[in-house]
Amino acid sequence: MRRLSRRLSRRIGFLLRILAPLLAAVAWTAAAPAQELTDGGVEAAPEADSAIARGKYILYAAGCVTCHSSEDEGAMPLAGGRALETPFGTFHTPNITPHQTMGIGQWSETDFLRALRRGLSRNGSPYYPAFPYTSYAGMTVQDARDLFSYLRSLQPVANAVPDHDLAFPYNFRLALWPWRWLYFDSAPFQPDPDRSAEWNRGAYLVNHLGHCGECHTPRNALGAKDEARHLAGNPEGPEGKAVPNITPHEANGVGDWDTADLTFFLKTGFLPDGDVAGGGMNSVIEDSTGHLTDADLNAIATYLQSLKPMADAGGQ
Amino acid sequence: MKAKLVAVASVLSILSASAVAIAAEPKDAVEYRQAVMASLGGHAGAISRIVKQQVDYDHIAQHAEAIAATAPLVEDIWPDNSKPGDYEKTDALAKIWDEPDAFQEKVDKLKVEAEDFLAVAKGGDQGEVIAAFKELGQSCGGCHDDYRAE
Repeated sequence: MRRLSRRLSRRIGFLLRILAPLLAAVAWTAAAPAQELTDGGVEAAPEADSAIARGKYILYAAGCVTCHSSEDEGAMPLAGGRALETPFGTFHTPNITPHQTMGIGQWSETDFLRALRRGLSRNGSPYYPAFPYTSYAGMTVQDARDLFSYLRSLQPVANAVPDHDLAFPYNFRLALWPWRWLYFDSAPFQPDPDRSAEWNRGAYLVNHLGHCGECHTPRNALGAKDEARHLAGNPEGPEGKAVPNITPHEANGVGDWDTADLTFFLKTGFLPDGDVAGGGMNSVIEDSTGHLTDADLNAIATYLQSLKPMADAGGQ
Repeated sequence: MKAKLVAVASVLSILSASAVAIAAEPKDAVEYRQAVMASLGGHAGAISRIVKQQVDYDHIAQHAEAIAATAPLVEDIWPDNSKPGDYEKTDALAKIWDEPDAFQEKVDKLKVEAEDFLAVAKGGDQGEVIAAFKELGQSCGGCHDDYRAE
C-alpha cells in the first residue's frame, strides 16, 4: 500500500512537474482577449478607495487574465475555456465571470477566499496546483476580497467550460491530498519587521500575488517548487523552455541589472540590451507587470536585488 | 506585342529578384538577418537608456525613425536557404517557413507598431512614449515567442 501510494504520488509529481510549466506557458497568448481590460496604462494604485478599483489592480498584480481567458478570436476575457493540452489530458480553465451557472455567480466570498488561499473548490475537493494557489495562499484577506468585488462587478459571460479531460490515473484528485500534505503551506504572508516596507511589499508581490516562482523556481521530483533554489531559474519551464535565474547573480542572474533596468523591463518588456525576450514573459508584462505602479515595480526590484545570488545557469 | 514584352520583362525581373534573394550563402543570409535584428535592438536599447537615465530625450524621435525605416526590411530577410537546417547558428525556428501567413501577420504588426511609435515619439509626452514603446516591444516579443529559439 505504501509502495503503491508512493508510486502514485511519484506519478502525480511527474504530472505536476510537467503540467505546471505547461499551464504557466499559456502566459503569452492572451493578448487579444485581454485588450479590453488592459486599456488605460497604469491602473488604480493599491490605495484606491473603492473595493472594485483596488480589485482590478489585484487582478493585474495576480496575473489572472492570461490563464482564465480563451485564445479564441472574440472570446471574452476571464470567461475561461483556455484548453491546456498536456500528455495527460486536457485542462480547461474555469470561467471566473459572475455567471450564475457557468461562472462564479453563486460563489460566496468565503468560497472565493477558500479557493485562492486554500486551493479548495466549492465542493471541498483540491485544485490541481497548476492553479497557483500555493502562491496565492499568502494573499491578504483584503486583497482577496477586493479581487472578488471586482470579479463580481463584471458582466456575466455565458461560456460553459468543459470538465478537465484527464487520462487515468491523473483524474484522481484524491491523490492531491498527500502532495498537499507534503508541500502546501497555507500560512498567510508575514512581513519581516527587520526589512523596509518597500522590501516587504516586493516580497508579497513576487512570492504571492505575482507568483513569479511558479516559473522561475525549479521544481523537485514531486513537482513542488525547490525553495532552496528560490527564483534561481528553471531549466524545464513552459513548453520545455528554460526560464531565467532572477537572483542577483552577476553572471547567471540579474546582478548586473540596476533598479531602472528591472522596472523598465517589467513595464515595457525591453531587456537592458534592447532585445525583447519571448518565452512567456511577454504576456506577463502585457497582462500583469505592465500595469503596476512605479512604486510596486520598485518594490519588486528591491526585493529581487536583496536575494541571495545563486549561480544556477537557469535559462538565459 | 507590347503586352508580351511587359510580361516577359516582369517575369525576368521577378526571376532576377529571386536570384538575388537566394544568392547569399546560408551563413551570409543568417548573419545579415541577425545584423538587421541587432540594429533594431540597438535603437531600442538606446531608447531604453534615454528613458532610464534621463539623457538626451530629444534623440528619441530619431531612434524611432531608424526603427520605422528598418522594420519593413524584416519581411525580406528569410530566404529559403536560411532555415535552421541550412545553418546551425540561427535561432530562427522552422515554423517561420511552415506557416508563412501567420508569420507575415507578426511582421505586419511590427511595421504598424513601428509607425505608431514614430508618430508618438515625435510629439507625445514621456508617458505616451513609454506606452507606445511597450506596444512596439510586445510586437517584437510576440514574434520571438513563436518563432525564435530562446
